[in-house]
Amino acid sequence: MNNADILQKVQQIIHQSCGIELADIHPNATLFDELSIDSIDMVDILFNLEREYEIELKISEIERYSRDEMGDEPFEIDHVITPKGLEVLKKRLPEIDHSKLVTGIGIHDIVRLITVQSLTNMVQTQIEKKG
Amino acid sequence: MNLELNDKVVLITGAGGAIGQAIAHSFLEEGAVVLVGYRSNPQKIMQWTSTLSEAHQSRVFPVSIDLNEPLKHGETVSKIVAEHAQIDVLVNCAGAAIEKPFLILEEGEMEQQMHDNFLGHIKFTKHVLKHMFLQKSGAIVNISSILGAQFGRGVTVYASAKAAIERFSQALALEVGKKGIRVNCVCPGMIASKMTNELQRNMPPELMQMSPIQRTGTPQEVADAVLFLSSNSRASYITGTSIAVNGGLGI
Repeated sequence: MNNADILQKVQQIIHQSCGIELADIHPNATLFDELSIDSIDMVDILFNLEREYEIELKISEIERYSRDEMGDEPFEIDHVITPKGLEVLKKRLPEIDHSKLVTGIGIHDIVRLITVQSLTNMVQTQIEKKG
Repeated sequence: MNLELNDKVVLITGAGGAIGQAIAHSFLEEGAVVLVGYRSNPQKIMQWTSTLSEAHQSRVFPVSIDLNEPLKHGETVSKIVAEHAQIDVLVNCAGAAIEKPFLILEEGEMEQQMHDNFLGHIKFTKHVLKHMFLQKSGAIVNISSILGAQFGRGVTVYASAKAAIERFSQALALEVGKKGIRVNCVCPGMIASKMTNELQRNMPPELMQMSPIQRTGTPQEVADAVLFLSSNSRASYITGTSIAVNGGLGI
């Protein structure tokens, strides 16, 4: 399944779950800040994508995989992402606006960086893992 | 009043007790499909559901649900949805009290009480809720107790768990209302049942005189409140609330 098809489905599900006009659901729009999707709508979107593709989706996996990739080096200190952690995130999330990945941002800010395209990529990764 | 519960799929945990049985029977009378959750006495449950099934055209199904085995919840709920397509109403009715002064209650007994009366319910609810979320509709009714707000000597942890389930119902109602799901509570007072009879030993003897209606309630009177709150046509604007079915005890 190609990325463009998945993106279209992600946009449709966001539209159905949140009532946002399809035209406003740009691939680069951040889910929480720009589209104003709240946490319950986010759950709804994830459940629908899980059902559609028979996969499991966890937003927290972005952080978990980044930590795993860093081995013994700290990903964060007192919840603030380290400079090396920011580099790993840039590689893991090439689609997001990297000007937002600045020194001082915390682990709880990661979720706010996620865009429609990030979600699409997560779905594609899980589909590929499933085989 | 037509509750429009005909053909609704209703799942009741702890349906083997007196209140659970009255609830199951009442839903069947309304034409619902009833999944009777039980943990113990399978023979008694099979016998009872088989009798009910004859009277209600095979619309009653026993389901083994052990709230102490959360790893099985996902499979249990998926199986129900596969067979019945949806779950419209969840009634969390399971519960068990250990009656002992707090100072001699073992730690394991405290944890068991919290699990039997609170944690087990919310873990199970999470699995059912996921399907209601996808359906964009559903009603959850949790059975709490008057002990969640008053009395409770000898059953401190049970009373605390009942308070917790009531507060959980309110907070969850806030989260899921926009997805078409309502969450409410029914808080029975002194109801003629085996469990109440046992708990009554630690209640003031003049309790019935303190109640305006001056008698114990019946399981059917609890069931009537549950059915009303479950009805999307009659209780459509009611969520996050509790109905006290206690004859006015404590007012």
